[in-house]
Amino acid sequence: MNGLVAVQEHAHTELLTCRVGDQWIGFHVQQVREVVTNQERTQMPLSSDAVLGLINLRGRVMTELDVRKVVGLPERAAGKSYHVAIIESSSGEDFGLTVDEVGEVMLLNPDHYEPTPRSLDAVWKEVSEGVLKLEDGVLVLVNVERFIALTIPRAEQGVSDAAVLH
Amino acid sequence: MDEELLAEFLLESNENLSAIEQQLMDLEANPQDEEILGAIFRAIHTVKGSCGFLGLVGLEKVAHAGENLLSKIRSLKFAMNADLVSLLLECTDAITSLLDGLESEGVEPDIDHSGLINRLHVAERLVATMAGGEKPAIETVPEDTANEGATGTLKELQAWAPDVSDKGAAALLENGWLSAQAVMDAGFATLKGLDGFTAGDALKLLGVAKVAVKHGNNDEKPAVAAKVDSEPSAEPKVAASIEANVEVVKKNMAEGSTTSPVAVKKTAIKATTAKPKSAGSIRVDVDLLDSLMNQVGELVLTRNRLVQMVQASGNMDFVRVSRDVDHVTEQLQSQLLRTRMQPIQSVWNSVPRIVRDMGKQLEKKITVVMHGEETELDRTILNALKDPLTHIIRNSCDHGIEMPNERRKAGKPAEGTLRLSASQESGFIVILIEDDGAGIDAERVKKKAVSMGVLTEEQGEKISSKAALQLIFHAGLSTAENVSNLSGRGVGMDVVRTEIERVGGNVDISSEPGKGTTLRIRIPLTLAIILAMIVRCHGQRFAIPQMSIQELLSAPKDSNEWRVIGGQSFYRLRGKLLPIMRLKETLKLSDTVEDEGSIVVIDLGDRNFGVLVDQIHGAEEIVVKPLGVHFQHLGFYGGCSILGDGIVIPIFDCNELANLMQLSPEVEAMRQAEDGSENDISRDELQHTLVFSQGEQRFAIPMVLIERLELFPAERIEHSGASEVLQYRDDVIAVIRWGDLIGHDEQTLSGDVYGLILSDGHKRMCLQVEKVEDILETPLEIKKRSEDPLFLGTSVINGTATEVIDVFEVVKKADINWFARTSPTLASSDDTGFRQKILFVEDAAFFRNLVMPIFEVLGYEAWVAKDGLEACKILEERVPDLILTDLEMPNMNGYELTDWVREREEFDDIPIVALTATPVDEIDTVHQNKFVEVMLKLDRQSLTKGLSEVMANIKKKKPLRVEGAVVVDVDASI
Repeated sequence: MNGLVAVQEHAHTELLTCRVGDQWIGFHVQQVREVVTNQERTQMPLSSDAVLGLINLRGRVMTELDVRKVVGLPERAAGKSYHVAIIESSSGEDFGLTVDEVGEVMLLNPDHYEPTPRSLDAVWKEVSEGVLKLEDGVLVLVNVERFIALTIPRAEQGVSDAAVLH
Repeated sequence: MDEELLAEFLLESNENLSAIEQQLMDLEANPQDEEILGAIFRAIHTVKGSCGFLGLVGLEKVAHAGENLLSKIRSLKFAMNADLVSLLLECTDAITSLLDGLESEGVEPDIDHSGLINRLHVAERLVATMAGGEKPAIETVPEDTANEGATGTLKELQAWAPDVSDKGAAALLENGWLSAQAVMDAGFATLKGLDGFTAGDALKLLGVAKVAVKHGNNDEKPAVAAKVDSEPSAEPKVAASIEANVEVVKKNMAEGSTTSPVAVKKTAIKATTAKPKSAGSIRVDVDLLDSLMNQVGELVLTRNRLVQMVQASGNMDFVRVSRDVDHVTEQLQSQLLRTRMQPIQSVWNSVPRIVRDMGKQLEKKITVVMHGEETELDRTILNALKDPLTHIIRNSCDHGIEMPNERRKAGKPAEGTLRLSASQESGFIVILIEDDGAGIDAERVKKKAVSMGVLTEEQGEKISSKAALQLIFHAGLSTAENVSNLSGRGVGMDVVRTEIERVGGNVDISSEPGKGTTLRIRIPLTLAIILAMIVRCHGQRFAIPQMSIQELLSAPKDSNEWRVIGGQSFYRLRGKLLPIMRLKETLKLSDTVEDEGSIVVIDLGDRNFGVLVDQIHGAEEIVVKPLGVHFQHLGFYGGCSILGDGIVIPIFDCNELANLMQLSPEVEAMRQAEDGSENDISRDELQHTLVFSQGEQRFAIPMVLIERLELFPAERIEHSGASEVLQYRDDVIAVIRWGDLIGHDEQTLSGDVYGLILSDGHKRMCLQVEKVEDILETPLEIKKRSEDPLFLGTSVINGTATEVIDVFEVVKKADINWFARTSPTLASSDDTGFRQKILFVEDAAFFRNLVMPIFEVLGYEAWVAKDGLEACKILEERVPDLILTDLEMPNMNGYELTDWVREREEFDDIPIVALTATPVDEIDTVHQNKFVEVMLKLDRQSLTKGLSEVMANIKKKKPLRVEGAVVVDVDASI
């Protein structure tokens, strides 16, 4: 299924917008459980780069992944505030995705939708399901499953590109 | 079908059947034991009765055939033999497979057991014949299989003459000569003249008919008909095949195979343990239990946080409330853990059967002896143990125990012994599997290992015998000269080890050539919550399962025990070089690494190593949680947990952790060169020992009775009269100060104090000590005996003279009556009710549960007894208005109970009602008169009506008794 069909089917999809570096991205609201601020985190030595560590969210242990690291941005400056979007994946495991800033929840307007443009950065292209043209730039629709698969060591065994819009 | 009833039926039938297997084998060993035979008969009888009620036709047929055979054996007092046992085992297997199908599918599976039923019938007739003159019995035809219509009659014919041609069959059908007898009567001349018959055909048919008539296999044998129906090609000549069957059974019986291949001796098993105990139990989905367990895990963690916060607040009201929460949570957790526990018996039950079958196949004689089958384990672990255990046992039977003549030559009894034992040892279960077979030659293992390149030749020379034996667990190393089809079906001992390690256990082997082999499995009681040592390294905390920890060492930088060989650090421990993993380096936590800190010594059975950390925080019970997909490639993380402060902590899997440190062969060789002489202390001499100090003195106490080591605030010790007590779990336990016992001046305790919780499973006490130094596995060699009964003597532990405590003396100081078991007190209750009382005697829980609701509906009070003996016990204490009793029961049956009651005048006015499962159960005339009525237990309606009538009559006859009876809950006291 290509991204456009999926988007049209979900014309009333709401997006949670987040900023990573200079890029605004959107997650489907249904996949976001909640947004929390920085949690006490346990680092896991020898784990892959994208893994920030483990956090305890009311008794649930989940892996915290750094979106900046995945898309190749430099490490967040120490002490700088950030948010963690708690994402529910299709496998049932929850993940925390850290972003620099959380914006508003917006309705996906199919008129603004465009397939992933060739000009998009390679890393974004990999996880993009298309973009929304906004007044002040483009917002990348992030396929969460593909994003998570990208962070798993030996990704070919993880969630494959079969993942589609929820 | 009533699902609840069905579930109940399955639960009970499975319980009954699991007991039967063992009972059959017991019977094989003691063929004349009528009690066991009776128990087997009753179990099958109950299954048959219940399936009749539930409309399970196929199951009923198999059970019925088995029951008939057993009934014949019982009534004729026929001595059981190995072939009958095999046949009956096959019958129970068939029932089990039907039950399994029923359980998974919800409907009776379509499995054809007519062959088996047929053989059961044959055996039954043979038993009758051989027991003395009685003619082969001709069974009456069960109604449901009576012949109907033309197809039925054709079947009749085919039943005894399957080879007859279609045309011939039509001709016979036309003349109505369908039974073998009718064909015989018709005679050769007539048959020859029929359409479709040649002279040869007629002769052949007559021959078959003759055999059929001789063996009573005429058209009245529906089982055979069914067989032909379902297996047309497999058994072309049924009559002939029966003949053959008869011959085989006869031959075996005539040989009088009185010596059974496997005599199963069971120790410490009383008849009562085999009883089903489902009366007070319900079935709970395991998933539900698992999710409950998870939630309680969360609760424990939340509790930990709460307690910490409250303590920090200093508000006394909060402290009290949180203490209550603490208490309840602890109880909840421990009780929930218990719901998941099952006795190891449930896995061991299959062992005698395996050994019996193996013994028969290999023509070896093997006795199984089991100890501690009541030891309880988490069901997940039990399930995981099943396959490895089976494999080990097969191995022992196949490769371990020798052929009888070899054994005799070696001066051993011809019969080999396989010994299984399980026991609890400070939070772990230790399972031993010992055989008295040929043992394993360590030299051969070494050679093999060298030839297969597992060891270098040099290593092979240096390796100790004990270490060499552990190579058995190495992949692809099997010493059996040729692989038989019984063990070693491509599965090696390495799989056994992997399986056991997967549930957090370990296994090792010891063997003495010519004497036997012992496998020792050590596993945690439960997986969900483990005891772990919390360590700190480079500011981060890690948990190491206590299971793998041998001891803890403090290793200062300037200690001269450090050695570095080829870049690898070693620490000399009791003369041996222990390879050290520097956690900081291995986990790349820091670039600057120094050999300094604390060493956690990990014992993996076949190898030891030390983990160097900065600091050791102490042991804690933690709830194991799984890790996400991002850590699957990092096997050394076994999971994670949440500590009391809410921080997540990774848990190491020590087996995998060890793989992060590969010693190069050169380093290994150099280490062995430097290593002093082997001090090969066998494991049996090593004891888990706790060392503590009081003032300047050091004391050692064996871990046997130590349940837990607690560190708690001194304020928690409360005063009760002159003595000190501690609230612990749901108990108040005595606190004894070690200082007082050895006559030190009393000190005021402050801050956190160490308490050793001593327990023998029934009672607990707390021994307060000043400082716990170490827990280690050490040979407790007493160098100097002590005069003081408190001490066993003096031993040298880690180079320091240490007094070894006699823990039993200490316990006696706390409570003189510690070792005198208190008898369970009877729960008394004030009985002010005017309800009529029924004494209900029934051994099958299925029927108990079926009938009990009727009492409730009618408003009677029911006292339940599981057999006549229990009923007598109740009758000796109180008098019911009516006795309602089943007839077939263990220990004391319904007739015997009735006789017992009627012999006693004081019970003259209590009517007795007999309960039977089927109308055909005949009651002899002597007893008939002693029952006011015989009721069918399966017919709820008439039972309800009948009971209320009888009870109404009693009410009219005499005023109600009001008495302050003692109510004994029979179920609870078992």
